[in-house]
Amino acid sequence: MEAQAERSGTLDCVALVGRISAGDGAAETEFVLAFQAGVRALVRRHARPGDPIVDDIVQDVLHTVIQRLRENALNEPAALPGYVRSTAVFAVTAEYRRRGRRGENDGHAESPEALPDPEQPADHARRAQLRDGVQRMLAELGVERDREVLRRYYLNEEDRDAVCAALSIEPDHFHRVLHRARARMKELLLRRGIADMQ
Amino acid sequence: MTRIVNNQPLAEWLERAWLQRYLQRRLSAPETEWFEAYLLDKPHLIAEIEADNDLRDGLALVAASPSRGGVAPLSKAHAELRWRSMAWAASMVAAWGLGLMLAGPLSIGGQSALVIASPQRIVFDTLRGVDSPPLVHPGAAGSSHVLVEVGLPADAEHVTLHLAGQAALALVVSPDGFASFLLPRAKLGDKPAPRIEYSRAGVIVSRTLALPNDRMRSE
Repeated sequence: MEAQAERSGTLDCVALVGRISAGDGAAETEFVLAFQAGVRALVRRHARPGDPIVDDIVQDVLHTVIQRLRENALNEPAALPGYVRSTAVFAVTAEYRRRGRRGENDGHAESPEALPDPEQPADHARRAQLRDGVQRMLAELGVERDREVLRRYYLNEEDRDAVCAALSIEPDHFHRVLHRARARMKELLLRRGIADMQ
Repeated sequence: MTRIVNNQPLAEWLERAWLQRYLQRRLSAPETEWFEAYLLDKPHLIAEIEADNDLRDGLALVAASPSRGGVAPLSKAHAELRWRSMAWAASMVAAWGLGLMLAGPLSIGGQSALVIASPQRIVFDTLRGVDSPPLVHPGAAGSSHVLVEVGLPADAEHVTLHLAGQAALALVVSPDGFASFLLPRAKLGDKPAPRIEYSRAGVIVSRTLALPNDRMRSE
């Protein structure tokens, strides 16, 4: 029943927070199962492309939140998702801030393969799969202008209107290109089984 | 878009509309904040966002391997990063100048000093939307200055620092989202307390920096 509630997004945060603060270890596991995938998605979104630090940050975020819940430090249990979100965003910001202090920020945004090697074969395989999948998807797009849409939007981080103006395309066409590209990436995700949690 | 204040699931069509605007980066900062909290425990939304993350990561991987038919260099993004780094460096110089302006020529043991090693650091986090106390890193004992750093939302603009008896000073946000300034320790007890102001989605946000004066003096 609880699993069903999590799948439909109606997690009872108040009860969960209360159980964790009361020392219920099973509730901590439920918390991790409910939030781990979401935290990872957010951390990836706020981190630089392909940064291998993501998994470490996710673990830190989950650990930090559980620690705070054990200490009963959350005044509004219903605000748990907001607290988790803020912790995740702050953790990413703090990581890049630390790198900035060490002079490691420059030049990394566009060079994910130059980042520290996590020395995990599975991660290498995943990256290779991702790169090959995107190359196939780019080839399938056929039209160079459509590939340029993706480059500008995802890599140069230009907004929709700027991309449309630069390439003289309508917003509808822009959305079609992105929709097709995302659909192909989702197929890859499903093949990898990551979306099985649905 | 209409903000929903609780975490009850939205109607499917409305949820999809939020998702589309989120993926298109067309939500305002508060809307993004809300939607990211909303989606955290919703696998079907997470899958859509992970597909988008994969697309971005995959494009970056392809771009990093031109021998495999990669895409053109990210000249604009790179230039932007360089510019922001330089702007941040300029901000730090401004902070140094502020310290000199407020404290006069630096002097330790009667000799002019050009370097302040390991100043005390006070780090404020404005990202959580609550006035939480700052993190204090002690630094070297008896440091004449403290380095104050304020974490800001990614979309914060026109950041200014307001100090008692001083004109507002513009601060540049670092590439990793922090505004910094160096403050003479003697100024810690000044009233009113320093205040930082920035605009976010057209709204002016003001935050008083409650510097932990007593605690620092005792350390």
